[in-house]
Amino acid sequence: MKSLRIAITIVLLLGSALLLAQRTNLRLGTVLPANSVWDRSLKQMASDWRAGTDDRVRLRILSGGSTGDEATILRRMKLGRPQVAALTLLGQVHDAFNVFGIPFFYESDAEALHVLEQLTPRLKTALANEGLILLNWGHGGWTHIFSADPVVTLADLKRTKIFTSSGDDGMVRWYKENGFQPVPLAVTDILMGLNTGLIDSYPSPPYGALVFQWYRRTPHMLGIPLSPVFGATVISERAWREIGEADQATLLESAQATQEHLFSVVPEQDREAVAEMEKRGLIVASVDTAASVEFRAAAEEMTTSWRGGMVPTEIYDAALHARNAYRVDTVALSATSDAIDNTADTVTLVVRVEDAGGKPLEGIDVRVEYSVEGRLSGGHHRVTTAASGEAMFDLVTINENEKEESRVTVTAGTRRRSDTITIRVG
Amino acid sequence: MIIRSEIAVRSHLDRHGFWGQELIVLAVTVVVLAAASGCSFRSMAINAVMPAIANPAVYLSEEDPELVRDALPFLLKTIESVLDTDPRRQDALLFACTGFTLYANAFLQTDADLAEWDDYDVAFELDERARRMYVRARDYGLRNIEIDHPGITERLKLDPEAAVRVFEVDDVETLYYLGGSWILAISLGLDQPALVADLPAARALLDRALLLDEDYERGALHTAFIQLESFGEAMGGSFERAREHFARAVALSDGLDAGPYVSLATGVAITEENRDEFQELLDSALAIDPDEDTSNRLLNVIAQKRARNLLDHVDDIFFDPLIEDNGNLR
Repeated sequence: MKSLRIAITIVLLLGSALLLAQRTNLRLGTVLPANSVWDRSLKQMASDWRAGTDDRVRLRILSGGSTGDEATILRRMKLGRPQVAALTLLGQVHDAFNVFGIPFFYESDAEALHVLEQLTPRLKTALANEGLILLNWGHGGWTHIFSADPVVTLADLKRTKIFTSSGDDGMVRWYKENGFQPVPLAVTDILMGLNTGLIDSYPSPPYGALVFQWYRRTPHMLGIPLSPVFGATVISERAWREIGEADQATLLESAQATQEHLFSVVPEQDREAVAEMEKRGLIVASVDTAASVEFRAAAEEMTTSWRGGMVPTEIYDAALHARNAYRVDTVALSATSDAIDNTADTVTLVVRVEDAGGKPLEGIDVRVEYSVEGRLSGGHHRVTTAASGEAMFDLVTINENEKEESRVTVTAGTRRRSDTITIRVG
Repeated sequence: MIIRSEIAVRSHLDRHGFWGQELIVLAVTVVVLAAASGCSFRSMAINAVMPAIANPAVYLSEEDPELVRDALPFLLKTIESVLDTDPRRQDALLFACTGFTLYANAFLQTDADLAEWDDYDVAFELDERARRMYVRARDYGLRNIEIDHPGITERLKLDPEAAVRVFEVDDVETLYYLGGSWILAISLGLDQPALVADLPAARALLDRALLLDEDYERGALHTAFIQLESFGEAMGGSFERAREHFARAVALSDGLDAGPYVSLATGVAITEENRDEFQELLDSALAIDPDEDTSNRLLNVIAQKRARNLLDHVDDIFFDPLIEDNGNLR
């Protein structure tokens, strides 16, 4: 009996030793503050990783910049610790990420998220080139313009002394070329800049303006969001390789759940921040739809220079394409004729694509399915819209029937529409 | 960004002296009985025993934290019974603010700090309890100042710097605990904009207290300001000023308070990635003999527990310094 007990003890001890040997202890560095929504979400993810891998993967969250600023964290990752990072300034990793900073380029969270999803394969490649594996995207809210005096037009904004991050010469140049008055400063100097009058406007998510108390010097907020702030949780490729495939899948699954949580709670946090600031004197300039469209159009003229400049051309074009595809609101169908003389004649089907404001959308992929075989000539089932927002498909009528009714299904961008086309012969 | 729980809770000691544990139990029993009796007798009984039960000194001088952990909840519920009978009783309101802050700070948040190294779920639950208790302490503090200054809560939210000008030197103790509980609640609730929005109000209360009585409780305010200045420049803080407050807190306490050492270690040394200083500060905190200043014994014992825990994890907190191409450390 005694020998059995000893044997069991040895097995138990060996089991513990093996578990320790197999355990991967990871550290995550981030500048995000402790006890913030981001810190809490990351810690929840760490708990899920531990439970989901039967304690084979442990993650310790080192928040608040205790492992240095983001540039330092990235350098440290190359040396091996920390192995994981939650980054907020992805433009430091690759200029492809500047695509999310283009002012007034995106209209809604859903639209920006759609573009993010469409661009994810390319962005993963950009991260992989730096030895980083994407675990999930993070959401930092949407930047808005906060200012000491009301800003409701671009001309108003140009009259302000606007903060921009020091060291970003491209941004300073762009501002100046477009008639703005940028003042490059470190983020830590914004409060000092506001107190001394060095700056009187800045872009920031509402939560940032609240937590840093900047809004008390700038009681005006422009109601039109400027751009989303997307971050990312990444792990070094070296650390990732040491984790078994099954555990990798578990980690990615809970990282995805964390992403979904953040994309839900962070916009809500910003709404609450605005409400709290309004109780304490913030005035939000609500801009009507017409003025908003005008504002965006003027901004878009200025931001096309980002293409090939601050954002690689291929990424800019892909983002524009994905964004416009998401914006498809109206898909109108018409035929050049509803009657033809001979069965071999051609009818042209015109698909017109517009956004919610009635603006024709160029570059949208349109796909047509016709319910009767052989009706689309030349196999042109896919056409891209021209500047007029129109895509054309030739229908060759070979049917002997006097009247033909056919179901047409059109997919344009993210919209799909079905309709019936009637063509009479003779 | 965490305020590392160094809002020291100490007061009344010199004025009230030490009360024996038996007397406290007797006093509490009288209050509980009184709460169940007729109104006039109840008020009379409360008036008689309130100074005895609302005496934090017996807790703060305790050498065994577990005894205080077990005893304090009963007293706090008793105080709430008193307030249920007499909602405007200011000594009870002040003690409720003090006691809930002490309990949350010394036990819940400290336990959360320890648990965080092993289990985030447990740490979160403890932090959440601490946050709610700080908010409760703050609310008692606000009720207290509303009695003398009706409408002050609203004014604190809208224009805190102007609102605090009504307070005088006699209010410093109230300001210290109210501002402290508020700041601590915010530090644990950065995911709640409604809490975060009142940071200027909490800060203004402590600013006013420091202006009125700089050497209050042998440097307790300076210890709180080490944490406030550790917020960093983006939030108007300054590590340089944090160090100045540290020096003053150490001088005023004759180096017998472990709080300032732990505060500077967690607030500044970690962010500046100064491992040597971190270690030196915590070693200094541990070198203090808690029996040398019995008035602060409980908080010193707890601060030393935290210091030991931090030293145990020093390799997790600090990474090897980066060496740049030019050979310089950073």
